[in-house]
Amino acid sequence: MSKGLIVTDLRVSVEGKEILKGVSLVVEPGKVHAIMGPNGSGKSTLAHVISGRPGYTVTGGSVMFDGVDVLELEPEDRAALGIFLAFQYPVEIPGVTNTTFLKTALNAQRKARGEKELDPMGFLKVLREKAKALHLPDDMLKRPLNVGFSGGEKKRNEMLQMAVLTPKLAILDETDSGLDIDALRIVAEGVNAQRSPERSFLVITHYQRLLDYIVPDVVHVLAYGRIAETGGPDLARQLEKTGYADYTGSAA
Amino acid sequence: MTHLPMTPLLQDYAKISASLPGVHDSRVATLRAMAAESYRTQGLPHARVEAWRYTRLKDLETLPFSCAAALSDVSEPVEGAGLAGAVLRIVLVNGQYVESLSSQVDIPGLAVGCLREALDAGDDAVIQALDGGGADFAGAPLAALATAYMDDGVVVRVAEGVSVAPLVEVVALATVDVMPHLAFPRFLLLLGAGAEMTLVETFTGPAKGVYAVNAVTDLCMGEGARLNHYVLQAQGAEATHVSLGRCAVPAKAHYEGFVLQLGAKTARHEMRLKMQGVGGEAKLHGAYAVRGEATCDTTTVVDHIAEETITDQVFKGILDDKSHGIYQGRVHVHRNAQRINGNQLHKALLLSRSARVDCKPELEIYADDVKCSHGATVGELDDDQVFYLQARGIDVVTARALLLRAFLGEALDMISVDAVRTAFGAHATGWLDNARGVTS
Repeated sequence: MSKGLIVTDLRVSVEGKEILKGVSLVVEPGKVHAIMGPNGSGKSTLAHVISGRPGYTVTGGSVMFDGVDVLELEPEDRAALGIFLAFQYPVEIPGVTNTTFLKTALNAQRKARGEKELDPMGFLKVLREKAKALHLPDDMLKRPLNVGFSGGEKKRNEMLQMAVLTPKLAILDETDSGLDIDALRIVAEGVNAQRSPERSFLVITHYQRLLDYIVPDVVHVLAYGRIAETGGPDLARQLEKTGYADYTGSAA
Repeated sequence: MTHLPMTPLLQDYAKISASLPGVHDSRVATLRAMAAESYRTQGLPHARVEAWRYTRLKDLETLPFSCAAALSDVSEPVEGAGLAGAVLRIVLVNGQYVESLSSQVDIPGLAVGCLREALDAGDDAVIQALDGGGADFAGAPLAALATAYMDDGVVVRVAEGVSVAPLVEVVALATVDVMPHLAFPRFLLLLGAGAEMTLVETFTGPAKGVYAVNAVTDLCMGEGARLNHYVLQAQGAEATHVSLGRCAVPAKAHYEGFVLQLGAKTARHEMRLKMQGVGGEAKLHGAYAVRGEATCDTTTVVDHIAEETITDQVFKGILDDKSHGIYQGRVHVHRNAQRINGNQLHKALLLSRSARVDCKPELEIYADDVKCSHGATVGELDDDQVFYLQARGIDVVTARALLLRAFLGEALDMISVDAVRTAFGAHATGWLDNARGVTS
């Protein structure tokens, strides 16, 4: 059984329009892959399809994770399998506190995996430690999920969820968008602290800046729904100079 | 005399009116006669009556309800809303005060009495306080009917300056007999100046079987009094429930109300607030959840009569299946009511394409220095919110239930008394646990 994420010739359309036109990539456990590309190239579509967001039609190819065909699974089952999506636009949910939400989510995943649910005190202790590491004040844990959070707070809250849920694959969908340099550094530190031989990352970003802080093992350029180029960290730095003009046929 | 097509329910009246309490008191007799005449004139509500535009009391129109007092031999303890802590429980069965099921009262400054006795004794304070202190039956034909048949009920008196520590819960229990009957629970509160109490009215009955309840509650507050007034309507699925609450808020008095409606086949709860003293404040919030083919109507009528009065209303509703929800909120700012603040918000969530909600805010403002607002939204569960929860491992049914509970929670959280917020929250959760949780 192959460990990690294996995307093979993935074709996806939205409302009849083909967005991904045969994407293939392999992310091995412990590796950080970055996906860069111009706007509209299909980066977010890839993230959403892997995590199971409705509204996308898979017309061909497959997505396997740890030997399981994830396209057959409900989003919650993919989460229990260890796939985590850090949202580009985290959703506000009034009336559900951050703590209640995380406890419900963690226990749902543990239950789905046949593990014991955490006792409330033990959970709170873990939550407070991880929040502190991300410079999130305790008071934000009691507030309704993402409601009234600033852009930076929402992204840090995504990192907190990742830290608590300890996924095997974390997909960061333009987590750097809307962040100032300090928030970016905190988020990157949060990710780097989570790097481990068992955990892989798919970091989706338009800009190279994030990759100064989260140094990837592999960089892919996605353009026109296809992986146009794959390389090492140097590829990201090269793109910073040249832009995406080589892939779009015009100056970006 | 006008004879409208829909004046049933007075069939028992001629027969039993002579034996109703207070028959020798001319004030009671006059009030009864006015009430009976008002009902004869108004009849059962129909679509042309603006205040009842959306709600028809079909069972009362078509089924042979008896209005005679239905005695019942309930002997087991009555649960009520399930409030934790110290609760003084007053039980009415089919509108009749049942002392044996009610708590012993041993609190200085608090008296619980039977309405029938007060009427027979010609109790001035009670008689003057009935029906909003003066035959207030406009747009309230059912309240008129209730007064025509007025028989028993409960009178609670709190002396000046007394703070009642335990929650006072009035449980209006209905039973199902061979003949469908219409019960008239009536509750009267005389809260002295500066007194404080928390009152919970719980309306409940058998899950199955046809019955109807037509309740009237009059709350009389003294200056500077503080009243928390919470209503739980948890009637059986075949019941018809109509209730009217009236409260006059005098100077510097505080009223906090919440109505949670979760039951009945046809339900209409109406609360009328008269802000008649300078500096009076009222919060009137609520939530409802309705499914099947049931109708649930929440109507509020707020009169800002005195200046510098404040009212705030937030109502939230969930509608599933082919249900019908109604929120009517009327705010009337009288000419001299300057510097008042009146806010109103209604939010409904439709879980089914066949469900329907009617929202009618009505603002009538005759003063020129006022702050008033109203808002209404109708929506569906947000797919992005559901997906966000699913992406974190929460299954779709749980995710929906969590979001629905949170939706109602925003209203329920406004209940300031912990024991009531917890108990009402549990009732709301119980309703949601029975929901299919699937949007068509």
